[in-house]
Amino acid sequence: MRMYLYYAWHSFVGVLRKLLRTWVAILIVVCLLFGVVVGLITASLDEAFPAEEETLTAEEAGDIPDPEIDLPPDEPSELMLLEIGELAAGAVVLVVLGICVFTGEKSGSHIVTMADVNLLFPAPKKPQSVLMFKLGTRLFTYLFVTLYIGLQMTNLLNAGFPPSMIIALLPAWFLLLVFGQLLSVLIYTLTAAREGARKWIRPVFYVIIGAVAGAFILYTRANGLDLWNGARRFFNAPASRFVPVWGWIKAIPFLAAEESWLWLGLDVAALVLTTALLIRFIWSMDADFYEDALGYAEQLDRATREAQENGKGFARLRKKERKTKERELSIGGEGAVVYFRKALFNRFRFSVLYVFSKTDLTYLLIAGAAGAFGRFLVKSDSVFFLAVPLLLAVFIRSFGNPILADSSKPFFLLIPEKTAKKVFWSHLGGTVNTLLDLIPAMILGVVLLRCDILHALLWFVLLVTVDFYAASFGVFTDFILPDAIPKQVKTGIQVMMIYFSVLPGGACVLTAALSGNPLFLLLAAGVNFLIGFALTSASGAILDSGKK
Amino acid sequence: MLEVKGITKRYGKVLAVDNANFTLNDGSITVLLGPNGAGKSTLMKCMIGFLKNQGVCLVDGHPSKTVEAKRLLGYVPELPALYPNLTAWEHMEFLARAYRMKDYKAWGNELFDRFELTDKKKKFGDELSKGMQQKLNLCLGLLPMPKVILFDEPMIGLDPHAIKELKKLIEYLRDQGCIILVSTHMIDSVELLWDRTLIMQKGVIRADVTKSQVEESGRSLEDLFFEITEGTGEA
Repeated sequence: MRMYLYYAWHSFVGVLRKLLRTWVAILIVVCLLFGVVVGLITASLDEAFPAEEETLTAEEAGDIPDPEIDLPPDEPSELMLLEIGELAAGAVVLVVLGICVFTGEKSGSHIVTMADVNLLFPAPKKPQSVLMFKLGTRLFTYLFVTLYIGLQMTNLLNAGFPPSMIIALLPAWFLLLVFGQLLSVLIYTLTAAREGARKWIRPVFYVIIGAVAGAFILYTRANGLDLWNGARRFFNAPASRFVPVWGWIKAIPFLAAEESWLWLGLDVAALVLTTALLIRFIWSMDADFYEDALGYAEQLDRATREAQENGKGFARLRKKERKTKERELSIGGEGAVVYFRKALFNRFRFSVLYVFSKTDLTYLLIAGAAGAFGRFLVKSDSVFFLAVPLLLAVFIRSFGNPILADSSKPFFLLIPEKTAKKVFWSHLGGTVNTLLDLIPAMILGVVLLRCDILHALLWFVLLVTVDFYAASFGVFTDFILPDAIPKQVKTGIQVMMIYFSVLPGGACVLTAALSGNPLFLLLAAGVNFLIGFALTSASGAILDSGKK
Repeated sequence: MLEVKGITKRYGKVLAVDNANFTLNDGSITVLLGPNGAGKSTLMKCMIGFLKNQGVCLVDGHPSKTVEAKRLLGYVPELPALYPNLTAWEHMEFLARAYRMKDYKAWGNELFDRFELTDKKKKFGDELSKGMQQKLNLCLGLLPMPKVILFDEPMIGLDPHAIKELKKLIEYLRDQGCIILVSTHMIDSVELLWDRTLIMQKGVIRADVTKSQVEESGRSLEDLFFEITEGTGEA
């Protein structure tokens, strides 16, 4: 244990020291100040115009089905707020746990480094303890990079959430992350030595999700409820808080809000007990993932050394099915444009029927599900049903540095062209790939929803620029931070920077939604592109100045 | 002409390169010798502009980070950095197009022949063995026919035939008027190849000698190297 604490502490201090040597410290201070200032301004606006804002909220919430169908007319708005909050909390818990299941299933070994394999695995410890230790340090990193969630406290307070609930959010978030990490260890330990078990993880997960969705649809239909009332009655039912883990975690802040201290105590006790049992179970399992870890660590080590020798970051290693007949194409282009041409060249070469990439299929699934949901369940033709899930998918996919594979090569800097041009064309290649990925999904969504084509087209342009904008933060963050900073920290900083720069674009989208004038979407797209372009140029200058 | 003026590189408190100054003339082969950790690779990366440093490196009067200098400057890194999704020949095509080269195929084919890569043209980057990757790495560095080429430990991972071909190529390039700088810690690998030697230790260039100076002194390069790096004297 002392060795682990020593290693964990020194790893954390090392990362922190490296971070603080960059201007990230200043950025965090600016972000904190910005959060406080925004919170104070919002609060003073609330005080200055309390009545107007309430009227506006009620009138403008036209897109949300009228809650008064099922709620008593004099139900206080705080209750409504809590209903929305509990639905959102349930969704967040489900998403985090889902991600942890998938992380454990496919990349349990992906967090070990060569040093861990050489130093930790041969130590007289159970292999689970090594994995637990690594996941523990990652958990610490996650907690660190999600510090900015704390900035939301003033906003939540201003939005009318009770203070006890806001305080309870932090332990709930912590317990969720701890349980999620344990779930990853469990899944990985289960599947590492049992190939048979591995293939069942995803189907079982999908079946559970499908069963919940099916039960929800049946419940809504059987009771003749609309989406809103169906969701809040089904997912926020008092019994839902008794669903192990998912219900327990989401209930923590709401039990605090309701000041049900006894139930809160029982809830947390159940969660802690389950966590302890899970740890006990994981420790009792037979496990051996030395070879698995060694294999990946070697791969990672090679890529990291290559990156340290050659430039920033490290190239992602991928395995692809590649046929000989696909090796007869020509890249085309000249100068910096070759980076753009290469991106398209490889896209067409490796796509199914020269069109469909894996991302394409993911977006198609999202658009199909969202379109069917809007059309058949909600019976709406609003493009929002299509645009919002795709927006989230595009945003999530933009995490990281999309031009890493190019910028980590030494000839990226050596090629006699302006570095900013090379960064721009390489980045644009990724954005055009996103554009191509989105086309079939948008067509399917529009056909299903039968929504306004012009409106959908404007959303399409916006989605593409969101990719360009968000990914440009990934490029920028990757270039300003040292290579040794963990990917999660980089992503956290990327998200933090996006969070504080999304205001102009977000305001345009909100105006488009509230005013019904879709041209504001075009304005938002323009803003996104300009910010992305500015960051891309800055990234070129950073690369030009050389690595520290 | 390649001029290195006052290059200094610090990593925190560690002085990796301390005030390096030298000039390399056209049509010369210079060997940068030094033990592990002497700062050879760091110096090379500073010279090509990969690292932030004090001082400057001028290629025919242009600072190395300018586009004008990059047209003249080539670099072969120690570790190959290839695209897993481009074939060996596509790497050549990609680089030739990026450098706006019109007639690269004859020279590219010659390089592939010399390094026995012709039958590997259609292999993807990650399908090549380590040795083959290193050979392709050399071909990529040589393809743009730069006037100044920096080789960082170029012999590592090469088979004897490839080492022989590389040495022949280096001499050919010198005869064409190119400036060659080869970094290595293996004295044997550069024997008979060099015109001039820079010996680095702990970030400092401790010796800058020509071949004739060494020969006149009656010592071998190896003697000189150990004399300097093991503290028995200074050139």
